[in-house]
Amino acid sequence: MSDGSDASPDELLHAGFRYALSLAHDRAEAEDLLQDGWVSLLRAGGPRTRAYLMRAIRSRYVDRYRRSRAVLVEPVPADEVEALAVDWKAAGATLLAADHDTLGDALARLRPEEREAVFLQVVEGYSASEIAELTQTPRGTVLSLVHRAKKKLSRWLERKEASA
Amino acid sequence: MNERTLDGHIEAYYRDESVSPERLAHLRQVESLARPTSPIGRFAPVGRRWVTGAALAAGLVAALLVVWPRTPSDPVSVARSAAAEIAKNHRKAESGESAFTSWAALRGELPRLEFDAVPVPLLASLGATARDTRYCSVQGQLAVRIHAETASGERLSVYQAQASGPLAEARTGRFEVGDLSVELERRGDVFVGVVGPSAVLARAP
Repeated sequence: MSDGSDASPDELLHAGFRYALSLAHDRAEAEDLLQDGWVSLLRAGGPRTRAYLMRAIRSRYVDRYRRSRAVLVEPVPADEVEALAVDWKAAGATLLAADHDTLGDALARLRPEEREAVFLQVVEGYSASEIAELTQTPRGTVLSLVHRAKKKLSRWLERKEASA
Repeated sequence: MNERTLDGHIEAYYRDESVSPERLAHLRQVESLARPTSPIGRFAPVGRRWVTGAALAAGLVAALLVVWPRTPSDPVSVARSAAAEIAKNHRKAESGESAFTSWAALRGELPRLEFDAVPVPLLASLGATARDTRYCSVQGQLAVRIHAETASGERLSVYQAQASGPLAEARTGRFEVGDLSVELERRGDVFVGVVGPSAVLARAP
């Protein structure tokens, strides 16, 4: 994974927007989150890297939405964690037919924490431990989130394909 | 339809998304204003120049943030606000003003309503019975709240308002607000929100 320190400001902002979109799954909200995160990063004088921007966006997201609602964190037994870790890449290898809107509909069905974990793994190339560190979530939970999210997405896209 | 791996689809989906050019330009402007690099007063002491510059930049940033429109009233945002408002009101558990008799009789009993309340099949499917009613509002529109209970005493509320203004376009579907679920739908010209414990609404077929 790259920390984005060599990225241009535009690239950095686009990357931040995509991360915000993975949390909010709404373009307008994602732009607001990006703006809040960007301003707080500039005010704090932090380094203009992807990792710092993502932390700032996440913090704004938590302030706005998550503190007011209970988030279920399901514990994952230790023996399951290793099985999920083996399954980490394989779960995304299924061949499926979909277009942009269909995938958007499928992603909308995921919980924000599932979408975020999948985004960080697939798009940003984070490892489970890196996601765990950014999101302050146990590694086992991250593995479970990604596994469950990909299963949901596959099932939904397969159903869509069958009904088309 | 493109055939790819699931990871390929996810990657392509996000790679296709980017900040709008207008917002990008705005954020770059904010960035340039946040750099207190240009000297403000030629003869001002260095420390004071920096403070003045920072204050000016902060003021400009704040002004830009106020001028820039926040989240527009898009269907999803309206629905989220409505769902959050409905959940918040449900938690208050305010007592009813009159006993529920029937859906058809509601408009006669609450004469300020400008729409006919509609039956809610979800209540029947959960085995819930409507108990009492009261006026309320949803997103600033006059509404009715019907309090209902399942056979085991679990509390549900139904909110109905005329589906006009932003509510006419609000996205429908199920929203999770903490431990509550809010089911939003439109039935004809009536906007309906049903709220109750997530575990109860999950039992609905």
